[in-house]
Amino acid sequence: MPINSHVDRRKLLKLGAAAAGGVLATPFISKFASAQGGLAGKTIGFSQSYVTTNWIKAQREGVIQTAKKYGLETIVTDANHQPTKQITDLEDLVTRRVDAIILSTYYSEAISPAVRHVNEAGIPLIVLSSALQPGVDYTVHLGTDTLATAKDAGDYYVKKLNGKGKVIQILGSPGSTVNQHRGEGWHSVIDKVPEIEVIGQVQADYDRAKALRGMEDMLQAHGHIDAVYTHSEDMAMGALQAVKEAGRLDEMFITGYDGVSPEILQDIMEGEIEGVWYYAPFGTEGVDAAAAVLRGEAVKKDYKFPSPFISKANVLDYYDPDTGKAKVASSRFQPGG
Amino acid sequence: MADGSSGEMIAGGSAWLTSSRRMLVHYAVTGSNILALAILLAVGASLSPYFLDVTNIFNVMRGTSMVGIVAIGMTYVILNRGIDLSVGSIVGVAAILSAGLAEYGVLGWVIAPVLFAGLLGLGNGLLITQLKLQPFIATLGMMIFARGLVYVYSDGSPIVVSDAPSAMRFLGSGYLGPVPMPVIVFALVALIGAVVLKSTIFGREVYAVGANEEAARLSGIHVQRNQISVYVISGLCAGLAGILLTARLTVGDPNAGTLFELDAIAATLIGGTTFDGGVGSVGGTVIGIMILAFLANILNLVGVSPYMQMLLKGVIIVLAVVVSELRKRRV
Repeated sequence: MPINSHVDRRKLLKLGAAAAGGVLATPFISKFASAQGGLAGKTIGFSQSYVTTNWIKAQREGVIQTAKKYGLETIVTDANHQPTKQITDLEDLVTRRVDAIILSTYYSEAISPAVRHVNEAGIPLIVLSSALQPGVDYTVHLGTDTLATAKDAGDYYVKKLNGKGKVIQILGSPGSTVNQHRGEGWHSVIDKVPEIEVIGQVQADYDRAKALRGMEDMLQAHGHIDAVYTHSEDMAMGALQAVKEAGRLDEMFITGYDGVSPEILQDIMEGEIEGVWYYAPFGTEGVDAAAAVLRGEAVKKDYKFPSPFISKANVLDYYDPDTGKAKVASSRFQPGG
Repeated sequence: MADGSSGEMIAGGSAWLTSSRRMLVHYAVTGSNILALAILLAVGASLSPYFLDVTNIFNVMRGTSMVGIVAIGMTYVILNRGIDLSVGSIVGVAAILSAGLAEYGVLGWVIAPVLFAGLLGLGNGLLITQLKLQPFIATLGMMIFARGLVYVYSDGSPIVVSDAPSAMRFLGSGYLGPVPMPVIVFALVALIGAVVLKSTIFGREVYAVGANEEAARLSGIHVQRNQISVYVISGLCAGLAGILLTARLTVGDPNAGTLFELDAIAATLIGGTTFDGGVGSVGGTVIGIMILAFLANILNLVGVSPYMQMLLKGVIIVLAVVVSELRKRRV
């Protein structure tokens, strides 16, 4: 809590509870930022599970940048991978009486009680990506149709392989719904094509080093491989390193998901990675939705966004090779949707 | 490579009798592990024609060399009747520092991260000896603290080493003859670790303190200094593993080294070092780590599903410890 230690005690007491509430957040943004559409002075709370991946970081950046644009104050919390911490984070945001909460969670089941608390307080709740459990309410949910995207991926494989080929699958962490969908949707399509064969599976927990090791084994075990289907960009890059070191890049193509790190976009541009299905972090869209709700605009409850395939053909829409940075994707949120 | 033969003699006459029996047990366990590894390799060769391929063997060794180096440090700690849960996080600290400081040359990507890792190990040692914290608690705290350091330093994202120094690329992906560089580093660390443990006064003191702290104190060993040293060694090993990991990927991953502590402990235990302290060897640990690595490799090569692999790994770790317990009772 950034309470200034030089504020003398009597003064602080005089300021009273209301002012203390203001001190808790970063009070200067709202005063000096350009106030758009009467949102100045409003505060949004943002609760995340764990900021350690490029994707989650891109989400946080999206929220912070967009909130600045609107002149909204933002209180950012991070549960540090502990469901109990995310519960207290949400309860703290309720205590601070924020005007809206944006939530991104890996533990929809565990945090349900805290979500109910938010519901009871009547605070608008915008949910990013992973859906909540039945029995709790939310105002807006912005999500990617992961299953449909994985089916698109299946179609892409069938077409690209011409209905015949040997494929390695590299999986993320078990237990993650997104990981399961990326497997199920893809399998549901390619399993109908008898001559497309998944000849090996590696569980690499979204970890680049594990994907590298696993892919080395696969290259050793299989004389010919046509493609490598990975469930994330980090694992795609791990697999790519193994394939390059074995000098077998011409033999196969590699795909992944996410498309938020500049590195993978560079690899796509150079043609070493076939492509990735973009997985929007929705930070920007989340704040757009919150702003719409706070202005009293009509919003839908559920928005499902498709995942475009980033390949060599369109990579420059997502990547700026001159700066070596990913382009901030423009918001796809339309209240009427 | 069984060592530490006479380390406990310093601890006094009566302790020596039980210790010599302990060492006998350790030889038996190590012997059965060599046998287990041999059987594993034979099974691998018969199941997959690709297994006994030089490339494959060295790939597996390279993949496991980072955990292997951590396990050598862990052997010192467990021999000393301690435990170090912070090694995985310290690997992370070194990995991220190595990537972040790569532009400053060898001083930046090798020396600074390894020294800093040693400093964190020193922190463990001081917490345990000066504040009398239990090793489990002290290193648990360090595990969380050090991972926090990684996230603060990296702001939670991977640090890509653009234009990695050629020495870094060589260390991570280069070869000396047919042998990958990380394997050479692992072999050197194992060799030095074994020699120090077997042939120096310090090494013998590590055994003596682990076998019986009180006896060691009475026989004039500076117990606290010895205990601090093993945690520094463990930290340095983790630091070395961290820079190897970054050199291999040319990316400093904030999650680097996660759960390394468990593999390192598993390898040490499979290798016949016991939690009672005073019994075990670096050679045993090297065999332990190879059993774990080749097992995973064989299962991958023959196409066992990843979930089934975890199940088997758990069974084998417990089985290995049960077997060594049974041998112990028989000797």
